[in-house]
Amino acid sequence: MPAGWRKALTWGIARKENIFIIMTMITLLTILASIIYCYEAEALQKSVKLISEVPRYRRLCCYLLVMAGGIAVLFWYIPLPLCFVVLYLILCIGGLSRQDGKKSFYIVNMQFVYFASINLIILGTMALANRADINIVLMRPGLQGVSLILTMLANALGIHLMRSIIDRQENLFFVYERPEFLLLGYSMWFWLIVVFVDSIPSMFRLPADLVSLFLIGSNVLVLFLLAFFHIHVYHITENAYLEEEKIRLKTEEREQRLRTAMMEKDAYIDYLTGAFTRTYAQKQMAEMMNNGYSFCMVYIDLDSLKHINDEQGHIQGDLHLKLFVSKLKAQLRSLDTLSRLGGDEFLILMPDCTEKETEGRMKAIRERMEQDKVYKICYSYGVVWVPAHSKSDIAEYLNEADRRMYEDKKGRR
Amino acid sequence: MTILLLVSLTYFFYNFYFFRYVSIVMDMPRVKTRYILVTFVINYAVFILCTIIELHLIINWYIFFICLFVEVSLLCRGDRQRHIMVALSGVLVGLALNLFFRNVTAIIMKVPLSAFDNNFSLPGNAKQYPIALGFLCAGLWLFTVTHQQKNMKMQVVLKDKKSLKFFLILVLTMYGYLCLNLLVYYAPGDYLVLKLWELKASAVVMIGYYLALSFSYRMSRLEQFRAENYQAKLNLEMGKREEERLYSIAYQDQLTGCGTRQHAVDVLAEALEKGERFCLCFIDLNGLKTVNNELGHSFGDQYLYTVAQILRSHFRKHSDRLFRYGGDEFILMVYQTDPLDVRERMAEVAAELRASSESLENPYRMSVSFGLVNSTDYHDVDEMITEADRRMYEYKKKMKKE
Repeated sequence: MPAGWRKALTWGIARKENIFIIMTMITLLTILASIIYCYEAEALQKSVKLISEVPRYRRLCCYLLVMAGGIAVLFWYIPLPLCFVVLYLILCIGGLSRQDGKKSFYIVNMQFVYFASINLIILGTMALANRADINIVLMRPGLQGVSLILTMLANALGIHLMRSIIDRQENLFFVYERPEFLLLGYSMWFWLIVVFVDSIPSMFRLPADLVSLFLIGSNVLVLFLLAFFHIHVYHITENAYLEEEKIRLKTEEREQRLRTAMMEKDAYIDYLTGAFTRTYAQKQMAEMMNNGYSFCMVYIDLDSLKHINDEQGHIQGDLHLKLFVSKLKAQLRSLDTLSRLGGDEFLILMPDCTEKETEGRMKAIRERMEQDKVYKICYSYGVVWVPAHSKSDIAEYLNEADRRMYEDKKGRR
Repeated sequence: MTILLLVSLTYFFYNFYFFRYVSIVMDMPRVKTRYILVTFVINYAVFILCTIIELHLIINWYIFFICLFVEVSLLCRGDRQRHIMVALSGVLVGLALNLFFRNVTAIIMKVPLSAFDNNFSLPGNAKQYPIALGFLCAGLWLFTVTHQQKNMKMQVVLKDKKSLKFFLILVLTMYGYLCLNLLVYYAPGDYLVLKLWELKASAVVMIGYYLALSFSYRMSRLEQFRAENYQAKLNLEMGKREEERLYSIAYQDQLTGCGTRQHAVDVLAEALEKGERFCLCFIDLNGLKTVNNELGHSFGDQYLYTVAQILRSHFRKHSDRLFRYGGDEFILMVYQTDPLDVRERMAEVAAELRASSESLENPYRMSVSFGLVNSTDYHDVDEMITEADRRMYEYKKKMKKE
């Protein structure tokens, strides 16, 4: 009888036939469990689209070796670290591809770490349950068989769940170029070493309960961590579009600001003369009235612009307007606003100025303009003072200014 | 005695930078140094007390966590989860490094692990060295991390509730795991393998923590982007409305709804450049000034508006464009090259204007003069307009004669 079978006697089963039956059952169950595991592993390769890259003979070889290994471990005591190394090599044979190196390594590492952690957890639990050392579990075929079967079934289940997630979210997960996935991929090597290191204490005589407890705790933590990382990477990949969207929106905002600034210029500044527009004047007046400032408004009507347009052409008319605005602007203060209401009508807004002051200034300006030897410009104007916190409508003041301008025009004829 | 002094110094170093870390990460002004001193005294006293009472190590570290948590809660606003997170992070790092150095010391000094439990009374209790080292390293880590003042990973993660919860669960698990490992100090015997194995526990926690923080940070950043993007989209919407408003102000004549003069010049110049074939009709309102002077500006405006409406109704094709060129002048752009056709339509316009004159709405005579040019004869916009203007003037003079 192979050594293992003899050892099974110490399990407390007396009769030879029972041992035979039980051992056969366990062997068959182990084979069954390995078949299930291999089937799931094969399906996983298909899901991650690596199946075409690994030649069939290698995959078959891997699965056969897994089954053989499972049975071997039942009947002969092999130190746990060695088991793990061999398992890793077998998985490498069945999973590594030259084309997609990183991806295949990741899958292999993941499979191995998962297998090893679950194995250690189950071994630890069984050791604790039997108040024994891990080695005892490894040496007794019955216990080792049970642990193997449970491990493989648990692995198959895990892989199955993983596959269903991958199948549902096709391209979302394995985007290796993402930095997060790379980080996860590199970290798999660390977890590999951790799990391997965990297998070593089983070779030594150490306080049994403590070792089992630590094995369980450590590997539960590792699985927890890996689940955490994978969930995060999945969510990150799902939401990565937000970063691109942010950049796009930023560009759009910038462009919009540029366009708006340009249009503000067009909306508020009269293209021909450089004075402000009617819209701007309206805005200014509304602001000053809302904030309770008093100001004077001067309504100006240029003389004979139509005459110039008709006699000398539009170009000359435009020049007349431009000259008027530049000359007038030069004589206004920086806080005065000169706007062109349309055609040959202008409005000056003078904050902080009494009606008398304004009248005086406008009189002086007109004198200068009319007596200019180089180019004479004549116009009529009407001055109105808008008091602070006035309740009346701005239109009233405009009409009054218009009326006064008209009086001035009549007076000058 | 010196070793005790060393321990208190390293602990103070750790404590100081721990609260600096807390203030940065919780978006608060710096914690005043005197508060840090107070916390140091309290924590250290508790630490010594625990050692004297010889409490179990797990309880000892749990009390340490509670102390830090209470102090952080008192010094900072915010919800409990954030306080727990910060306090737990500090304790986790301290504990992991402590364990690491205990095992290293045990290996070097060839001393059994049980020499490091809380049995103060036992001679040869070498607990102080690893404790000092552990707090020193933890302090150094906190120091390097607080130097990068802004946008620390933890800062961002603390702002995102979902991420925080997830991360917190993980940190709690790791803390539990380290507490489990504290049991090793109550095991009899001296095993080198066990000591080496324990080093792995610290490494796993440190690296796991770093990775978890990185992933949580990335998640939180993306969530931040989500909120910012939503706001940006709202701003863009508002900006678009403002743009449209400005566009209508800048390029549309408010009264008649036609394009402005500047717009006319731009459009004409572009069309000429592209070599398009169109007719330009320069239209002038007759007698607008009279209406304005006799009846007032509101009737004058009505005159302009009516003319614009009627012109638009007769030149309704998609490509025909009407601009207000001046006080009483319009420019009409017709993508048709047959001037006779345009003249016919202008005749229809004139007829309609005559029919609408002397009515309640428009109690005055309405008529227009116009001049027509063809784009094919010109390369310059000003030339075109001047010629059209001239022809319009001739038409006007002819009409006056009649």
